Amino acid sequence: MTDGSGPEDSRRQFLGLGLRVVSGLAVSVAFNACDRNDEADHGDIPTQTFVQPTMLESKDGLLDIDLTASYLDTKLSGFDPSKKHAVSLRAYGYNTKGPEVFGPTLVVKGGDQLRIKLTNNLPFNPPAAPNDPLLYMKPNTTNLHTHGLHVFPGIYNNSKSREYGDYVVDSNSGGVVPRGDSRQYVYNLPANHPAGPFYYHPQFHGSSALQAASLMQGAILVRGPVDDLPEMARARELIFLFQAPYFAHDGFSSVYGVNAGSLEQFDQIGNHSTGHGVKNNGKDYLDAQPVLINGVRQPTIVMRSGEVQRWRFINTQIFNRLNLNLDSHILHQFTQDGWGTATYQEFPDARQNGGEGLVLSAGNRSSVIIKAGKPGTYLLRTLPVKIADGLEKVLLPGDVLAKLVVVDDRKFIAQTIPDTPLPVSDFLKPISDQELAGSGGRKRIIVLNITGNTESINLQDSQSYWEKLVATAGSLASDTERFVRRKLTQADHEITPTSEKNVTNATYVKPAALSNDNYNLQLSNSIIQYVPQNSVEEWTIFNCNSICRPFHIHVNPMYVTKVNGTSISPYWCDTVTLPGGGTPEMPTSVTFRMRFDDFSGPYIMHSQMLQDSDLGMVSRVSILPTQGGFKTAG
Amino acid sequence: MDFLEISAISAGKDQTLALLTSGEVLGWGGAGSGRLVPPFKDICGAFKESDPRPVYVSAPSLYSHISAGYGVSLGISDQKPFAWGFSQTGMGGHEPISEAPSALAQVASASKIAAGQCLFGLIDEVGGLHTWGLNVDGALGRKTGQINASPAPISGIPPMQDVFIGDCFMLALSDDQKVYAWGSNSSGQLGLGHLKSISNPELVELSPNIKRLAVGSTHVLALTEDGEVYGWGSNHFNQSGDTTSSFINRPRKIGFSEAIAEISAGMHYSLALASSGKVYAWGWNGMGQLGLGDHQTRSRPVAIPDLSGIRAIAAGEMHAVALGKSHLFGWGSNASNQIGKADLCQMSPNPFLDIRSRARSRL
Ligand SMILES: [Cu+2]
Repeated sequence: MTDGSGPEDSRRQFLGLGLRVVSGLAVSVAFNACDRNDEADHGDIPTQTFVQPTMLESKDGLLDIDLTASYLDTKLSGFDPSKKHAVSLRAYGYNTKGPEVFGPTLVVKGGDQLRIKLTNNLPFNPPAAPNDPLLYMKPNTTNLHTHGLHVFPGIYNNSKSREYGDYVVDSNSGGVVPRGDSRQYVYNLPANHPAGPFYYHPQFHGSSALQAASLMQGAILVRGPVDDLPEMARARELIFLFQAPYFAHDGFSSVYGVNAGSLEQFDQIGNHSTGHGVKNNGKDYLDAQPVLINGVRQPTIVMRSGEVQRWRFINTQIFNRLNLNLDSHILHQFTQDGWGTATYQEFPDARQNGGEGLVLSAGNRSSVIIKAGKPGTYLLRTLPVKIADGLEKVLLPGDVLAKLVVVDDRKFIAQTIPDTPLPVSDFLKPISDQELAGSGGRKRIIVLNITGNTESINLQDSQSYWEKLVATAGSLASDTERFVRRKLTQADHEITPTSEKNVTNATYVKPAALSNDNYNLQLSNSIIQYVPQNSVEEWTIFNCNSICRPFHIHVNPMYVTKVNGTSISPYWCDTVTLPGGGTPEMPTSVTFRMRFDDFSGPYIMHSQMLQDSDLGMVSRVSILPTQGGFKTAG
Repeated sequence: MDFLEISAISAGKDQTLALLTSGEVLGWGGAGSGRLVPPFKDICGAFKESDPRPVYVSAPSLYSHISAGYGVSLGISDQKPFAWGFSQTGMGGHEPISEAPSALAQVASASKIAAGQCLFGLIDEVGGLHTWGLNVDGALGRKTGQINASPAPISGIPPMQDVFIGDCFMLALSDDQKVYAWGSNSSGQLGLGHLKSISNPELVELSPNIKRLAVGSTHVLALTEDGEVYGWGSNHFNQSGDTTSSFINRPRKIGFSEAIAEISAGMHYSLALASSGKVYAWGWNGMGQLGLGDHQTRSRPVAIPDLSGIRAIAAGEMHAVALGKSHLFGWGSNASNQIGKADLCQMSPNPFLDIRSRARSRL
């Protein structure tokens, strides 16, 4: 839905989608739903204002699209759904279509080839001022990442023109540059690729947060046997892209030196005070950016009592978590991220019962089945949720995300929720101790740390926790570089051997102690994890800070086995939230196993709080082919 | 004539260190080499801009021992432990360290020292074993109040002569030449006959008197007084010298046609230096770290051709160095310039430092 589209347009788009969804399926229940919606025009049923992106499906094993990055001028709601604000944000268009508030939903199956030609029509990068945190960032240089997909991460060398896999390790001088540069991405899904929701977004280092916090995201659905179950196929499918675009309010734009409705400064995404936010209701709460679903604030979904739908939740936000709860209904989860489970994990209405709903951190996805209960109006909410713990306890306030109106329909035959066990790909077989032992069994340690922050940040201070963190982080990017330049220059001038014996070609570098102030986030080039292909390993990720940080790794999913060193019931995911409340002395941790079977090549792991990632909380994984060499090509 | 006299070499994850008899330390490669590594302009980039030339680790004083670990290196200077490199956790959560060595004030004395992956150990003057770092799978061999623990001794164990560190596990060699093991046991690398982690040191059943141990990522080599070698732990590339199983949870003898004087192990590969000065290599060879001119895995020790008169060997994660009569040789991965001027994947020994070269006077 773009600027100016009223309920009529929304409904038409939704109806069109309904038709697309049922094409090829046996029972056109969704078609009946369209009939019901038409009755809304006669006044007895509310209008569905929920819209979703166009679905583009693969045919004969191939889905081939053009994707363009450019500015979209439209109107979006902030906290108040009745008000709309003019915005100018980076967004995706596809094929011959101009930019929309979301990219199209790409529907593929295991064994398919997905081809995306990304063309960058954004304007040239602005010049970087010396003290600008964007010094090393290029807000209009981009690339593409297929979040969670198990696909080749390198560059293909078997074609005349260069083709890229899920390649994001672009150098700062590379990427898909503005004003017309393009890149052909090719993703060959293995035949046993698990079925579930994934998504695509930019991951150009230094610019990923700014771009993903505008409108550059779209869903990828991988279909599999679970989707062919008759009850599943009959259940209408809704895609929820939870988006929280950051754009300056009229009253705040001068703070950042940007136009109202735009996102051009790193500080903006480091600061929740855009002026459109969900206001905090207590000193331990953080102002939150209001969440839109597919570009719409608090859309209405209409279901018939007894109707079953499958909802795909994708948290595309770059920082905030969701704690999803549907009033008086049960969410039956059957994929965690994009990774299917044989049984449902049930999330009943938790408002009266601890308030723990279905929690999705930035980058997490979920597939749920819901069955509409008695006629009435119900709210899909995010309940208050912890985002930092320990020395700084910080909550995100609750919010209403959507309205579900359940209507009575005596003609409607109630649908059923598919029986378990659900079919699950053999790709997701558990990783046993024996398998680990016989495949190298390496144990690696990865540390996420903002040194110093837990000591220096105090919620009682005038600045908020986040403001202070970002004030530190914001100055970090440029400071670090200037610092290092200064030190390197200094080193050049300080070649002062203390030894009588000097080595041919040896240089004397007198390294300076790294100051806390200049190195608050770890260096991204610290340690590269080199992994021989076909290994199975167990990694422990440590969190030295208060924030509940979502750790994400590309290409190969994680089989999570321990939290804080204690065994849990294992599960698969590609984005895992580290417990908050860590300190450098008592870091929290998550432990998981991974198989490195199908692909060699370079990829990354990082905080899915993309601000952190852009400032250096990211590092490289390089899978080395057992037959030798550092190959990026496949 | 002025020669460079090297008394010890050590290879870590991305760095190589050479200890000169003068007590100075030369470093090559990435974090822990003593070189300031530029930050994150390129996404977690390999150290393309880095320099193949060695740097001197800046010395508060002169060193007697060195150990190159994961991004961090340790040294002993005047019986005191020092650390340098890049550490995200600091030591016990404090004292974030840099490429300028800083003293570890918590320990009074040190005679042997070992750096691993966020895991460290040293032997003090009276054979006490002190450990610190991240306590995963009981790797510190003692109860700790902090997960990221500061140095403290392990109590209730006999006097130790040396300590060796792998992925979240440690081994120590006692004064009476017995082997103790604890920590992670994912591939049977504790040699205790099972795969369970152990959080207190346990004696490994191994009858001969052991002279030296070498620890790779998840496998172990032991050298006997008689010049024989035992291996155990992960074996999926035959790095523990056995061809029958993908991991071995008890020590098993590896056959050699001559007596072995020194052993070293990296990520899934092994090196042995014979008394004759020949070097044998086996295991994973993806980066050419066996020095045999190709990338083929070797299931049995194979002598590296044209390499003789070697006095010391050191296996890093994916690179190896050897001290010859007149050169320091390097082979394997050179992604961080850890073996000086060489191929990215250096498949055969390459002389990267001429130790006969007449030292120049002050610049
Ligand atoms: Cu991703």
